[in-house]
Amino acid sequence: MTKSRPNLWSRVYGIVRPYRTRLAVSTVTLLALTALGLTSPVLSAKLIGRALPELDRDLFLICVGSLFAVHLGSNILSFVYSYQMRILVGRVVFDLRRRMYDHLQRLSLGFYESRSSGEIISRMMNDVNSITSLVTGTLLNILISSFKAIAILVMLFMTSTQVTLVALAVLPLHFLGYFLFNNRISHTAWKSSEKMSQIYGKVSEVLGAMKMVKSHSGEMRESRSLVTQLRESYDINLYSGNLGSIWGQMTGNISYVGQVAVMLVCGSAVLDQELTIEQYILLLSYVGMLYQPMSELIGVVQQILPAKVGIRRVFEIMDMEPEVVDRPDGLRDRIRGEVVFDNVSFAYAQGDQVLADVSFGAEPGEMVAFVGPSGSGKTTIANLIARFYDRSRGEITIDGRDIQEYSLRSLRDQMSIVLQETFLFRGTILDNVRYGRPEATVAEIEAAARLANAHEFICTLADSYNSLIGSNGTRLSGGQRQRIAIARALIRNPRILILDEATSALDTVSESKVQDALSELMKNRTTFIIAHRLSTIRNADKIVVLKEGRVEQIGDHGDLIDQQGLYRELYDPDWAKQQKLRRDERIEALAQAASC
Amino acid sequence: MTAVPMIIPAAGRSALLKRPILFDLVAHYEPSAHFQFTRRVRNGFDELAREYSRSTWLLGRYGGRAVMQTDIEGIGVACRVEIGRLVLREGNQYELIRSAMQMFSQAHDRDLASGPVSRILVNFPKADRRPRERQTVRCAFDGMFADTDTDPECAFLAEESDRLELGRCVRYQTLTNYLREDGHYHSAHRKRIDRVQRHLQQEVGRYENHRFFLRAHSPHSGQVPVVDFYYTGEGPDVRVEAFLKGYTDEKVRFVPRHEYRLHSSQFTGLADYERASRRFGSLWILQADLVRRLMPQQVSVLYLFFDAQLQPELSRTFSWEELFQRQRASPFICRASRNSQTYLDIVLEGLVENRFIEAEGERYGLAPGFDTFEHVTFYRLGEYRKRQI
Repeated sequence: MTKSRPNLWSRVYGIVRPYRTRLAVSTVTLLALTALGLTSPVLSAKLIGRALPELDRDLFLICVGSLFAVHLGSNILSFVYSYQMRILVGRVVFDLRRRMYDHLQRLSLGFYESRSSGEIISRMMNDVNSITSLVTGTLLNILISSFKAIAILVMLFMTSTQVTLVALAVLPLHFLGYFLFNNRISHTAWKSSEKMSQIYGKVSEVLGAMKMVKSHSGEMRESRSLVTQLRESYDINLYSGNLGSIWGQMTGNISYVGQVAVMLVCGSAVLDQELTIEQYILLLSYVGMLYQPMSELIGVVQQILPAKVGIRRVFEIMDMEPEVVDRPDGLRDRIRGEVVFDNVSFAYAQGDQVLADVSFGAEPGEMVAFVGPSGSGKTTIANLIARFYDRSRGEITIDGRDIQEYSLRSLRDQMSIVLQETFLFRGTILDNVRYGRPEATVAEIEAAARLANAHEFICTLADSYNSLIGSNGTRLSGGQRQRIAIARALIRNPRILILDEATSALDTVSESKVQDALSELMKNRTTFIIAHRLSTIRNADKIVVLKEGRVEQIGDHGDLIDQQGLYRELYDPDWAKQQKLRRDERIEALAQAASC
Repeated sequence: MTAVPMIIPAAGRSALLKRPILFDLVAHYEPSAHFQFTRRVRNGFDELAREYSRSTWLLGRYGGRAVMQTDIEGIGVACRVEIGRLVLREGNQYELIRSAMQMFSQAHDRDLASGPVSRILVNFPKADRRPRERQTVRCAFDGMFADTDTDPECAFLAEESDRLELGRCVRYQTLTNYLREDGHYHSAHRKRIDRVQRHLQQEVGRYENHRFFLRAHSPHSGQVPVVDFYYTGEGPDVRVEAFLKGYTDEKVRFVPRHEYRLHSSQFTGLADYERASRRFGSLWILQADLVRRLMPQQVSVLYLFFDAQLQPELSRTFSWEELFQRQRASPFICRASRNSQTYLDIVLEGLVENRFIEAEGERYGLAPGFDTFEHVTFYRLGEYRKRQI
């Protein structure tokens, strides 16, 4: 079935739709408010044009009383309208942010690797706000302004066709202004949003890497580069503001020209006694009121354009689909942990092949290590096992079933990953360990911490398990943080465990403690280890040696050492150096021979 | 300023007096840690500015007079020379722009600037739609700065409609060739080239008297091209060949310098080949004399205008619905966005804005001349100089 081009407005209405009753109440209130506003000129004209010149006290009192009633009624309706709108807008923004955040949680890792967190935050916080101006300042304004303009035009036509035509003569100039400014404002709004995203991205990146910035004395450099971005943003906003202001001035002046023309025509008619003072006042008031909705309508366009840009940026994210698709009827079985890769290839993007025909197997409870130079594809294999990405070709099975047949949640619930960079949330140690399994009891958490060799140091902290850690909490060493992360992994009681350089950032003392903790963690679980320090993987049941995305060697430590290949080169630097020397000599000899 | 075109009588017929165009030219110089805006520099520059000042019709404090400002770039201090509000009628544009270029060059020659020119920006209204004026600027620039024997023609980087940046392009192949990957540049050889490059960089001294490059040729059209490595220098060096064979497993052949110069267009530098054969990141595309950036998602959407045999459908236009149908089935679009209508809308808008495709109402087609668009690397002036070093 061919999908038709999406209509932005119908999508926006889709967001507002749950609150249509409230929207209808607001609209009716606003219409009533407008209708009340239209009676004021009639009453004023009667008051000045008839009651006062004719010294009609009764009519005078009726007019004054009615004007007061109209004012009071308008105030009440205004309050009702703004109250309804506050609720409407608040709920719409709340809904949209919640939906967007839910959607962001569902998106695959690939999405986050291609965008900065600042950009995503900017879309979620700033761009979602666009809908506020779209609903309050735009959609209703269009409706009301159109209603007002039509009503005034009808009244004007009923009073004097000639004056109405004079008043309408300046309208084409308003459209000219629209054509002159429309595209420019739209373009600058886009640029402004993009620039703000970049600034958010820059700030969040630099704040996240403050240690690195300071260690490289990069404070001034960073300040300068942000100043450049801010200056550009300032220029764009200034330009955009100037455009809007020029357009506003132009609109006001055009309207005033129309009013002056009407003043001249009507004034002449009064002097020629073709028009009464009451009609003169009425006509001038209506003409004054006619341009207001016209200006509002044009002003609405100014609001729509940036709002439209913002909304589209929100929809762009909302329309994305997770690249890793979860099957609703996916398997939820308890897994044993047999993992098989059969000719698996993978590319992050078109043509960017990272793994090529990788095959290996891991029996339940086995420990498999991946080694190889940087960029050989070790972490990619771990990502595929955790289904952060889906393979491009080949087959990955767990317990004989395709990995894609499992429900994502069930699969990841039975896995734990410990990374080199430990992330601890802001909160207590208890909260952080419990993140692995929210229903875990305190006793279970303590048990996990004991197994992870963390209990001892946790008890020395002032508030023990309730000590605050994270950005503002207790400062922990790398080894301590890592052991908390291991406790978090342990508490899940996973069938498959992935350790991605889990100890490579630690000193020898911390490493030996963490290694002890890991030995506990690995018991009876299929474990995949990625390590640069090959001493830590000597006991692995199987070692997969990778080079440029391909499997170079497979075997246990002894076999691979005997094979005298890449593994031995990586494991034994002295041997590798000797090999290199021998190769250099061989090539040198060949070169000598060739030159002779 | 926008002057209204005037009709003036000329020998019995009316001639259209062209509207003058307002040019702003800015030169940025290489930053230096030692540059200071001293009295000598100020006085020297004032003199230079007086020498080259041009009276213009236009108001403005700096109309036709150059000003020098400091410019912080990265970690160094640089300077920037601006000469703006040059109101130039057709006919005297070339001379005046050339004199501005000469002044930029003089600022460096007289040791007033922080370093050699690193960027030149040209600003005039609707610059990206005025080929004649661009041609004038190019001629003025080349007349002043180019070493015509070796430098390719200059081109303009067009990131904004009114503001262009002068630079030089290294041309690779047409965009169509890139998209089909059927030209001389193929990603299949990237690893080999990377291996050779790494070895050459590790052993700098050993190969310093030699230059390495490669020649690609396709035995049959549509097939992956075959790549052979070559080197040139004083004379053939079997040691070089033996070392490269031993360390990289690549056979390199010697080409005498005169032969290389004679057939230089057939050879490609290793770095250039590596850049041209990348299948990731954004691309620089040369459209006549304008260079525009093509983002990865735009590259993916361009494939929607190609048929199943990856031939561009140049004369065909597509409705939005047709394009969306194609997007949903396209392996070139990332899976997350394949069903996104907003994605298609936004990317199409960008492509139209950068003139890769044209929109006629609700229909879209490849822009005229699409088959001549070239994949290039754009180098700012300073970067191009460093590249040659």
